[in-house]
Amino acid sequence: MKKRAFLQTCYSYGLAIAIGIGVMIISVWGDLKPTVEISWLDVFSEGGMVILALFWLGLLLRSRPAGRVTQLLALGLCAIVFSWSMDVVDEFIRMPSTLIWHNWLESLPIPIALVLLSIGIYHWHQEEIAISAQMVKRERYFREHRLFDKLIPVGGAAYLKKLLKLSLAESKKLQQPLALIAIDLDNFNMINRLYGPEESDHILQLICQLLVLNLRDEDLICRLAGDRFVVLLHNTSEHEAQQMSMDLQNAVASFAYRTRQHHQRVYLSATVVTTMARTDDSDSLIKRLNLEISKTRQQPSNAL
Amino acid sequence: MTPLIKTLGYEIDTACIATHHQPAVLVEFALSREVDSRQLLRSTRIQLEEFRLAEKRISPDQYLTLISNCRKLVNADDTSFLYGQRLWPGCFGAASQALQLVSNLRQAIEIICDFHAILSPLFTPRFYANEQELFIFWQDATGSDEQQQFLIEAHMTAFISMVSWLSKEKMPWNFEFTYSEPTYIEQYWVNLGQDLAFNQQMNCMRLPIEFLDKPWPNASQISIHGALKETHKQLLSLHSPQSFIDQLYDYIQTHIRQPLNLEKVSAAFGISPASMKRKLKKHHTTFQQQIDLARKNTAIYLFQVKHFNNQQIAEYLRFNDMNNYRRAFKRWTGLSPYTLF
Repeated sequence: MKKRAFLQTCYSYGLAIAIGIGVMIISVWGDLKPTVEISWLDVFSEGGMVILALFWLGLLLRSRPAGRVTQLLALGLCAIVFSWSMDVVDEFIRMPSTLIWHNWLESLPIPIALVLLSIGIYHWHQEEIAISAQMVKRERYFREHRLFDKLIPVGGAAYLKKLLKLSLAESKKLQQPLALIAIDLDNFNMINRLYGPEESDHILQLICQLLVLNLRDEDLICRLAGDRFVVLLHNTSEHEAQQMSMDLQNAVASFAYRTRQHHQRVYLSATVVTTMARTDDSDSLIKRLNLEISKTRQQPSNAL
Repeated sequence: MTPLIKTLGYEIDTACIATHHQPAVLVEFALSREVDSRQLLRSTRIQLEEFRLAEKRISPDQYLTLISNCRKLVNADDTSFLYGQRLWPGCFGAASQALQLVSNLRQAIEIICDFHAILSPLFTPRFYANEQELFIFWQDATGSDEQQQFLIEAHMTAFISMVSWLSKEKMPWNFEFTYSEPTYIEQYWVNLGQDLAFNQQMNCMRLPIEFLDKPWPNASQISIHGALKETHKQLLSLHSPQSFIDQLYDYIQTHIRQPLNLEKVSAAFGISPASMKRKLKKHHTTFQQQIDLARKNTAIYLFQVKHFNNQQIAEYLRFNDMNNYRRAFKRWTGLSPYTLF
């Protein structure tokens, strides 16, 4: 995923102008402190806070899509940066003690910032709930973005292994059957060679979405490697799993893909294998599943 | 004494790899994964335009830096395998053309081995067979150090993927690796196959012999000769058809039954022992390591192909007594000869 460019530069411009005006106001009313009076420790600690807050703002604007939640969070952070930078300026310029309002520049933005941030974080929380609902067939128990597949928006093999451990423990405790389906596209090497790697990447992305559509909410899909996917079926009997694997196989076979460049029809099919979790641990279970795929492949009915 | 070896092979810092060959394949893959081109080419001393000009040659060292950058930036377990899938037959001139026209596995192996300087400059494939099985093992040609595993994965995938594409057949390959089982083992299952063994003596692929001369579809017995002739010309235009490390390995292998030392071998190469040492250090190896490697591989070859027993192997390699042989064998392989053979 590409990082977002600084499209929302208006925030940085606005912030710079606000800080500029603030500095101007302070310097007009106050006068410069002599160097001996400056407390450098304060300058460093307050300056460091400003830099940190700017860093948060930068990360936020770079990673999040534009929208209401981003706007609220960004405005809140801007106000914090402004107030903290006024604090820093204060270290260099002495204000006459008769002035009451100069403190406002420092302290007024903070409550505003906190209110904005709070509203922002509340909506962010709502947003997360909405996104989690969409991710329901792709993750379970925990989220770990580092284990997500680079090409396709589902978990990779490492995520599957971690998850399988948890699922095995759960199904043992609840005495429920746990089924696994492996789906392996046939002749994917051929498709790769004939239509190029870009097309085959696209096919994988679409196949993954197609498989997700054919799953129930409780099921979970991961990409093991290359063109091999694994589906985890909680509380599912062998018979049900067989039925589902047939459905997935049919879904792949009736998928009418046309290449993006020349609109050629690509015929796809998949080898599907079902297995039940019995006494084995997660590693041996995945291994067994893969062995069964190779065995099914070598049977003459599946030959080219 | 006049040197026996006239031209020294390419080294880690010899500009011998065409930028538009293997490096271009890797760069194209990385760019398809939305990697920043400036970061990708950082400290490789290559410009992006040079891939279009297709004139420059780069050194193995530059190519290895490019691989290291690519691995870091793409940061996925399947980088080496996807790169391997795109590698062969490829667009490397006449050599690639010849590969596309091969009529059986034997011919494909011969082309890969004879023209490895064009097709696989960093890793050298070597081939032998006995009555039941054929063996292809892969050896480091330029001291790839940290990128070794990446290159082994890439080259084995490249070969398997090409063979299954050209033969339109699934073959029961067996794989052996010198390193231990990686965490991303599922990539091996999907890209290579289920028959894998780790912590072995060689990086090797094995296949039942009946596949060697089985005819393949789309072969062209006649036009392949033209392509092979062109490939020979292509090979002559290179700096040399072999790497320095390969030459040294071959020299030791042919003289394995004679007493060898650094002075004698350096003289055969027409260089001083000091510069031999320096060259070996540049490739992250030593003279003793090369001797041990050649002896280990010879012992395995004698066992697998000639069906020698330990006594005969020790005699062939001129060991005076079995105790010395056992001790040496333990140093080469970490195992006793009686557990291995």
